Amino acid sequence: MSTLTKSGARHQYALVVDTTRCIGCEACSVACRVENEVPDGHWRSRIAPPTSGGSKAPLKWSCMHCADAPCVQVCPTKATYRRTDGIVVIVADKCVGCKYCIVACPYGARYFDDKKGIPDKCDLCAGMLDAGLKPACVQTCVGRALAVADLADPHDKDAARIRSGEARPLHPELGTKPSVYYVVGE
Amino acid sequence: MVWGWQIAWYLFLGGLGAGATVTSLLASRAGPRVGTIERAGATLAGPAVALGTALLVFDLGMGRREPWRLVYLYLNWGSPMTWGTWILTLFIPVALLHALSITGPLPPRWERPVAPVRRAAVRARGTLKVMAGVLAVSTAIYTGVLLSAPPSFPLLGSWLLPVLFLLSALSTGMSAAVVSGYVLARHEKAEFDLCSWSRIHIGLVVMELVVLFAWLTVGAASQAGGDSVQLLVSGSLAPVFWVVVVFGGLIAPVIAHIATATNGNSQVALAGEAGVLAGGLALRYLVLLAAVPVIIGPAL
Ligand code: SF4
Ligand code: SF4
Repeated sequence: MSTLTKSGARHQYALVVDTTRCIGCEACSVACRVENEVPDGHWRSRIAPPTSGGSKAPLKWSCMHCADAPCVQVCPTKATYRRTDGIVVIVADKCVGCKYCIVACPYGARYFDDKKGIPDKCDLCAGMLDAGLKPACVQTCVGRALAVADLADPHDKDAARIRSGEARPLHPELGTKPSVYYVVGE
Repeated sequence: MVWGWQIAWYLFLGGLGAGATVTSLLASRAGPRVGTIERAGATLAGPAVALGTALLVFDLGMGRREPWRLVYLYLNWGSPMTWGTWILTLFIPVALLHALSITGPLPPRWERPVAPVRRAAVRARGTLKVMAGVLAVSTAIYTGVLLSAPPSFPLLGSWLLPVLFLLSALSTGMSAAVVSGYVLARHEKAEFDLCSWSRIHIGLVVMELVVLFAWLTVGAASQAGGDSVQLLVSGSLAPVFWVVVVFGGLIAPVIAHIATATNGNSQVALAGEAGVLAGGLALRYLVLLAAVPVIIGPAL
């Protein structure tokens, strides 16, 4: 399990979505569905219609892994928490299934899995990242529109796009400090 | 909104139990004699809140299948639901003890096991009253804070919602206590003075009406909040909103209470109380149904 960058600092993950390279093919959505066995009628990741979020491009939409996440704040059991590397996850054994996190998420990123009795959402394929692999959506993207950036790595090219302001979060005015950043063309 | 009818009833019954307790405490100030409203309000509170809580637990996913997980609910001091869990955990037994401390003995078969508890409760009556009052008001406010804390639904995210829920809780609890107090008084052939309650209730309902419209006005300021308000006042929820919540639950009861306060007609006042109860429940339902999220995410 690699939780340290080359320089020894902690990872600080973010997702960069380059909408100028996205053709809206939904390969990422399908890969996510297969990898995470998402039940019918729900999604962890999908392409939002071009009008959402004020963008003309299709938007890959999933949990924003907010640094100030309302879901984390309201979760009474602390089953939902933010890992030190920035990924917001749900600990299945602690969750009572109260659905408060689903109510609290302004991005509509969570769904309730009736079979499991708990909510679910994108976890950036945390298990794969821990194993040194890329998330299923990133691996599958045909246009190479998706990348996991590591903000703790000063040499990471994708992190540089975030630092320069080229990639920006959706609805920052909500104050949740999302960790998914979008590159939007003219 | 993923929360359905169970949560609407939970919010309603929690508020009702809180309001019934406050009504009972108000009634106790009238004099040393323990009147029917005082007893009815106190007796209603515990079971109402417990039933609401049971509905909530029944709505849980894994918490229902593996109830031992419920202990985790007490953990996150930053979560309104954890506050609520603590408040309800304390309020339900305190409300039951408060009821025991002011009611007469049950039939002997039932009284025997509770007798020692009742004796202790009677001794601690003063403390129980203070605790019941504080926990009742906390419960009523909490039901509003639960919905107003997250930033996801602009109409709900206003501090006016807890105020509205507090007023509605006091009002519905008063209605429940007054109606059952009335029935009890008939049964005991005791005197029953509705007029003074009608006067208090008019004030409460008028305040609730003002706060309701202030809440809608503030809520209409944002896009999603405006959509929610529109759903309530002119959209698909409008018939229930205007007929059951506004007219049946607020305006008609005011008229009924004015009629009672002036000519003492108790039948009219009791119909008004029924309206308050129906309006209070409908309000909780509609608040959940009208919640339009701040970002309309991609629909499937
Ligand atoms: S997008 Fe929603 S589920 Fe994801 S971290 Fe933010 S509030 Fe939580
Ligand atoms: S459903 Fe589970 S993860 Fe969500 S707030 Fe409740 S306990 Fe936390």
